[in-house]
Amino acid sequence: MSGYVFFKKEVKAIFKTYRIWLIPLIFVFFGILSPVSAKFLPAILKAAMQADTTQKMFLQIKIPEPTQTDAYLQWLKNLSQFGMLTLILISMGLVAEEKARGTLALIVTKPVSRTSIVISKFLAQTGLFTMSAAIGVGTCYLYTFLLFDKASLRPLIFSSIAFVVYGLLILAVTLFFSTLMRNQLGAAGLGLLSYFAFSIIAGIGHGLDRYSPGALSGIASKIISGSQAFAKAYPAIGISVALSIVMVVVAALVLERQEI
Amino acid sequence: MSTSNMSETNVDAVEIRDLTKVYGSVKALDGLSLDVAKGTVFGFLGPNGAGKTTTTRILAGLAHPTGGSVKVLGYDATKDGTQVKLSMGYLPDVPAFYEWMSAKDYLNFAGELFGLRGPELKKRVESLIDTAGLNGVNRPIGGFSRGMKQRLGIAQAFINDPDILFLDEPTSALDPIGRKEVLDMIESLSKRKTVFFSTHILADVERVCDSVAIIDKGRLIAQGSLDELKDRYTRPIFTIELDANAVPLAKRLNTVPWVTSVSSDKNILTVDVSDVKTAQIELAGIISSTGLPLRQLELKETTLEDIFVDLIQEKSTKSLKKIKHGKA
Repeated sequence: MSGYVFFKKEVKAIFKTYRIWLIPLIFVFFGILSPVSAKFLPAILKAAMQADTTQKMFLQIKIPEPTQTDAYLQWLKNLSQFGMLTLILISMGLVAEEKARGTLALIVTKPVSRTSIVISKFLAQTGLFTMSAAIGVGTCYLYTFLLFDKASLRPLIFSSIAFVVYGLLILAVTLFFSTLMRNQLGAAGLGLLSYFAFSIIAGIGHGLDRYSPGALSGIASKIISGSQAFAKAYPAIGISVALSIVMVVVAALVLERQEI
Repeated sequence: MSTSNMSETNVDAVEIRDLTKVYGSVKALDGLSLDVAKGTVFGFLGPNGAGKTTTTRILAGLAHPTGGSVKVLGYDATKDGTQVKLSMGYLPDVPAFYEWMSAKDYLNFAGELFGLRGPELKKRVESLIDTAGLNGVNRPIGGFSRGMKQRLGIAQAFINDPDILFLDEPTSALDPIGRKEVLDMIESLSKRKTVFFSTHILADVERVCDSVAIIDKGRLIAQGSLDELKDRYTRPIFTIELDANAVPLAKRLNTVPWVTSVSSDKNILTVDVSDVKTAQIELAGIISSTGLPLRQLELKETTLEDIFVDLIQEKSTKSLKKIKHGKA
């Protein structure tokens, strides 16, 4: 019961600290920017090259007409960079900041389990992140439809689901480091490092490009380009979900034994 | 939320045995043992770095002991944390809150963590807001002064009507009125609740505490009721103030057998004696025999501060002697 009370507090904190507006706005921004840049960037590049006469003499680049696929790929690219960074920034201080500021000391001396504190934090941020991503997907779809006259929802949704699952793993990993450390910047650094490590592992091949969480970025792109079915993402999704649960459980165990 | 554990059993409220806590190469607690009886206001005294906060943090379940045992209301504080939490209130030396909450929000939140709901919670929150002097303060805690935060910290420690309160330096950030109010709150709990009150403000201890422990360098130096400590460590001191230079009288007193030491400061002499009764009879005559004009003669009652300083200094001197002896 006290776990639910703490979860309610976490949700209230999201509202009171304006994250409820800020995080979805970031996703809305990239939801608009992605189709807009996919649509107009080739035209901008073309105009730039025409202006440069020396380039025109030696180099002729044919830029194909942009499609909704380009808009969606741009959306995924933005998510995997700025989306992940946003996620790490919102989760780096979840526990570390509370320990450093001293707010956690007053809470853990009350009858609420430390495990439920960790789970509450993870669930509240999962809600915020998933909702923001969903709003971003809706915005991206709308702008793609407006700019390209047609937009398929299915590949956008499935690829974004793959991305969100990967994102939740990064959230769980950063939450773990935030629990382990007192310094939130250190937690952010290690979260970012883990993200790079997942990408590198996925690039090794030998099946890792199918099963490892880092493979979800590539799979998401292939879902959009139509070269891979969503079912191909199941193994990596399964492993990411399992790893996320493991990271949250380990974070809870660490906090249970930790001096505050 | 008050549990009946205290009234049902005859265990001490706090029982600490051979408690050690090591941080790297620093021994914060070095075999500390002490008992706190139920229903007492217990003053936990020591200079900075003596181990007061470490002990309080271990009792509250925030730190783990390196060795020894800690029982709170009969429960092992390291194993039965939940039982202890249900019956205790805790105030750290610098309480920190969620700055976006108001004082009322925080007390409601803290109460709900204890399972309080509805009219009972509302009544308790309103009463504590009133006691903490935060009536009508609806702004977020982020804009509170340190004193306001301290008062809120004390209020949240009371939210579950605890059987035992661990208060780490509760009055240090308060102005004189706030301090008086907090001490009144603590005093009103006397006999009904156990208050474990860590502080270095000796006047506060003298005002509200029934019993006292003095620690230094992680070890217990003395423990007992205030009267016991005064009886045990009282050092009879006479102060003599003259309307003339006191040096001739100091020279005369140094030859008296029951005088253990004399220190002078212009016209004032401080005289340590080994036999108070004899001194009370003979001292006035000795002063009179010197022909010096007397302004005031007083047998000074030893204060807790005198005892505290004496005990800490004595221990330091003993340690120093031991070190010197060891080297030699």
